[in-house]
Amino acid sequence: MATNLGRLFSSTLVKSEFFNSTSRRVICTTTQHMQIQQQEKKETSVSEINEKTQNQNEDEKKFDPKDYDEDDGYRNKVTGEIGGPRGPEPTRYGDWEKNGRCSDF
Amino acid sequence: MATSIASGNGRLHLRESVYRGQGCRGAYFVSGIGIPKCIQKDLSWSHGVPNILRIHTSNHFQSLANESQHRHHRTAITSCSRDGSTKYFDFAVIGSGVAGLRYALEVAKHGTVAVITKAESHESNTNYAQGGISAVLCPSDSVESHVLDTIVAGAYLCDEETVRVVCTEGPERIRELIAMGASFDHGEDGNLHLAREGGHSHRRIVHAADMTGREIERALLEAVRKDPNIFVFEHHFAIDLLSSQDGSNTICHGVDTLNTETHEVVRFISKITLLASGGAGHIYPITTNPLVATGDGVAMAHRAQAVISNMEFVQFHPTALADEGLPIRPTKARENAFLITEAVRGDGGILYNLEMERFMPSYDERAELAPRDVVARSIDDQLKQRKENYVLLDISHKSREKILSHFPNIAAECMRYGLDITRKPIPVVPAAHYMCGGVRAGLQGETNVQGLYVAGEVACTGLHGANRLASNSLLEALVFARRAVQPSIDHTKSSCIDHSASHWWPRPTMPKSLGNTVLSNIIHRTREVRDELQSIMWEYVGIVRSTTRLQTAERRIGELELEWETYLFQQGWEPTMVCLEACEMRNLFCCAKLVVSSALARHESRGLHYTIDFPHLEESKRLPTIILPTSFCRNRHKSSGFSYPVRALLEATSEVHRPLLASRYDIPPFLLPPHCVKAPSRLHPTFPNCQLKFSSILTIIKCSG
Repeated sequence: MATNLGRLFSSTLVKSEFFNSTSRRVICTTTQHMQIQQQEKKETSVSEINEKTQNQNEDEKKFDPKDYDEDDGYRNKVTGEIGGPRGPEPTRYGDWEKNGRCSDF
Repeated sequence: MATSIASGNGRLHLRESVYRGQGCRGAYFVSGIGIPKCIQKDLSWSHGVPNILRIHTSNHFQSLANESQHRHHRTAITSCSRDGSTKYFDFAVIGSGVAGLRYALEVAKHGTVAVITKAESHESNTNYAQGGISAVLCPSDSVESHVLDTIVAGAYLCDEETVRVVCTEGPERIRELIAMGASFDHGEDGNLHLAREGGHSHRRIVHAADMTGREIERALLEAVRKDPNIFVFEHHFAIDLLSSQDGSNTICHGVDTLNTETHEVVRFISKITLLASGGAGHIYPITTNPLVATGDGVAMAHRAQAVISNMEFVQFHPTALADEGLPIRPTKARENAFLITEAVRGDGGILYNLEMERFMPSYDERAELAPRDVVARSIDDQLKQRKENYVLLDISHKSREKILSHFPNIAAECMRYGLDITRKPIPVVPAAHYMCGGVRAGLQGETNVQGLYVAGEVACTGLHGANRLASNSLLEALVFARRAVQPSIDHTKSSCIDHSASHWWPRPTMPKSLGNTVLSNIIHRTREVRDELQSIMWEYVGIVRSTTRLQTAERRIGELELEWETYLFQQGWEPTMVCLEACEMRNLFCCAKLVVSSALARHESRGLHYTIDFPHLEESKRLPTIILPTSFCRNRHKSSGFSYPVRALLEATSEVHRPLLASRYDIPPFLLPPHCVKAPSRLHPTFPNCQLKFSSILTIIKCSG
C-alpha cells in the first residue's frame, strides 16, 4: 500500500519553497510587521512594540548563522529540532502556543 | 421536459463532462440519445464509461488514457434537465478537511469522487488546527499509554475499543501523510520531532512548525487536485441528504446542494456518501471555528434519520480575546477567536473581574494555575453571576521585555485596537472550540443509515468521550477516513446507481419569486435571529449549566425558531425554497436543540458537561447520550413497514398550522427533508450490521424535543 501511494503521489513530493523554514519565518514576520506598520498609530509605544517584534521573535535569541543547518533550516539547540518554532517550547504550559496565540489545547 | 431513463423511451440529454480538478473544462454535448431501459442494468460504475457513450468519446479518451497508464480513468456523468442538473458519482464527500480529502484520495482508485465543499477547499476547521497530531512514534512510548491518556482525558466515557484502534493505527496514518508530501519537523537525528502537550504522558505530538493543520491540508489538496477521479465542487452548500426507506432500513442516495455562486441547485446521486463537514462552533457567539462551521453535517444527518450522540460535550477555551473589551472596537466582527495561551497564566498572568477583584482563588487553591476546565468554569460562573461579558487577564506586572518577547502576537493584535498589554489587562472570554459529539459512528465510520459514513469532527466515534485530548482530533479524522474506505468500496462493487433516483425527491427551489427586497429582509432578519440564538446558547447553555437554565434555553430556542419560521412564511417563503442563510439557520437551530436536549438528559457532571444540579460524576451514568431519529420513536411498536406520517400531515395542513405541527415533530416546515418511501427498483445488498452498541445506551432522547 505504501508503494502504491508512493507511486501515485510521487509527483506531489515536491518540497515547496514556501515551506523552507528559514525563508518562511522571514516572510511571515515581515508580512506581519508590514501589516502592523500600516495601521494608524495612536500611541508612541506602538513603534516600540513593532521594533521589538521585528528584532526578536523569541527570548533573547538573535539571528545566529551557527543555528542554521545548511540544508534544513533553523536548529533548536536545546531540543535538536530542525525547522521548528523558535523560542520557548510551544507546549510548556500544556497547550500549543505561538507568540502568545494558542491554537490547540 | 426531460424524461427519466426509467420511462424507457424518453430522450435524455446527457452532457458528458470530463472534469479536470475543479470545474468543468472541455465539456461536449451528446444529444438526443434514446437509452432503452435495458441499458440501465448494464451501467456498472466500477467499470467506467458505459458502452453507448464510449463510441462517441473514444477519441477524447484515447489521449487521456495515454497520459497515465496506472490510473483507471472514469467519467462522471451529468444529466441536465430543465429541473436542474444532477451529477452522478460513485462517492460523494461532503467537506474538504483532512477527513474528507484523505478519504477521497483512497476511494478515488475505485471510482469517481465528488468533493463538495461550502466555500474554498482550504476553508475548514483542519486549516485552523495549528498544533499537531498525536501518535505513538517514539520507541519508548506505547499505544497503551496513549490509550490511557485518551480515556482519562475523556473522563472515562470513551469507547475503549475505538480508542485502541485509533491509537494503534495513528502512526501508520502519519507515515502515509508523509508519503503524500506533508512535511513535519524533524530532530537532528533525522527522526520526527515530537512535542508533549497537556494530558499526554509522553512526547507524541507530530507537527509542522506551527501550521500543522494547514500543512496537512496543503499536502492533501495538492494530491486531490492532481487526481483525475476526484472532482472538487467549491462553493456548493449541502442542503439535505437524499434518503429513502426500504423496510426498516434508511438508505442514503446522495445529497442536494446549492451552488452559492450561480444560485443553482445541484443534485448529487452517489452510491456512498461520506459526511466530513466539521463542527458547529457558530451556535455560540465567540468561537475559534471559521464561519463555515454551522453544524450542517449533524443537522442533515439528524434529518436523514441518523443517530446523534454526545452533543452536550462542547469544548471551550477559557481565554479568547474579547473584542468587546478593546478600546477600539474592530469594525468587522472577528470570524474566529484569538485564543490567549495558557502560558500567559503560567508566566504569572492574573484573572480579574471588571471590578478588579481576583476571583480564581475562591474557586480553586491553585488559582490561575488550576486546570483549564476549572478556569473555564470559574470565568463562566463569574460572567453569569455578574452579568458581564468578559473578564480581564493581567500580565502588565511582568517586565515589558518579557511580555513582548514571549507574547508578541498578543501584543501586536491588542495594539491594533489600542490596547497596550504591558500596561493594561487583556479582556478575555471563553470561546467554543470543538464538538466532541456528533453523528454516531461505528468502527468503520458507518452510521445507521446505509450508504452514509462519517469521519472527523462531525462524527461521534467514542474516541473523545466527554472531553477531547489535545491533538487527537486530526488523528481521529485521519484514522476514520481511512477505515471507512474498504467498506465503502465493498458497497459500491455490489450496487448500481438507479438513474431514475434523481426524480424520487422534489427539488429545492430558489426564492426568486420573492423579489430582492423581500429576500434581503429575510436575510437581515435571519442574521438577527442567528445572533439571538448565539446569545441564548451562551447565556443558558454555556460552560456551567443548570436544569433551569437549560429548560429556559429549550423554551426560548423553540420560540425563536417558531417566530423565525412564521416570519419566513409570512414573507411568502415556500416549503421547498432554499437560500444559504436560511439553510444555515435551520442547521444551527437543529444543532442547538440537540446540544440542549443532550445536556438536559445527562444527570451528572462529566468532562466538558458540568451542571450545578448534578455536580458530581455518577458511575451508573457513565454511558453515551443518544438521540434517536423521529422515525425510530414513532414506529417502535410496529413490527414491520414504515409510514411517513409527518410528511403527509404537513402536506395536508394549511400553511398557518404547519409551523406549529413542525415544532411538535421537530421537522422544519420549509424544505421537508427529502425522504421517499419508494423502495429502490433494485434492492441494495444487506449492509453488514454496524456496531452502534445499542446495548450500552443510557440516555435515549425521544424525538429530540
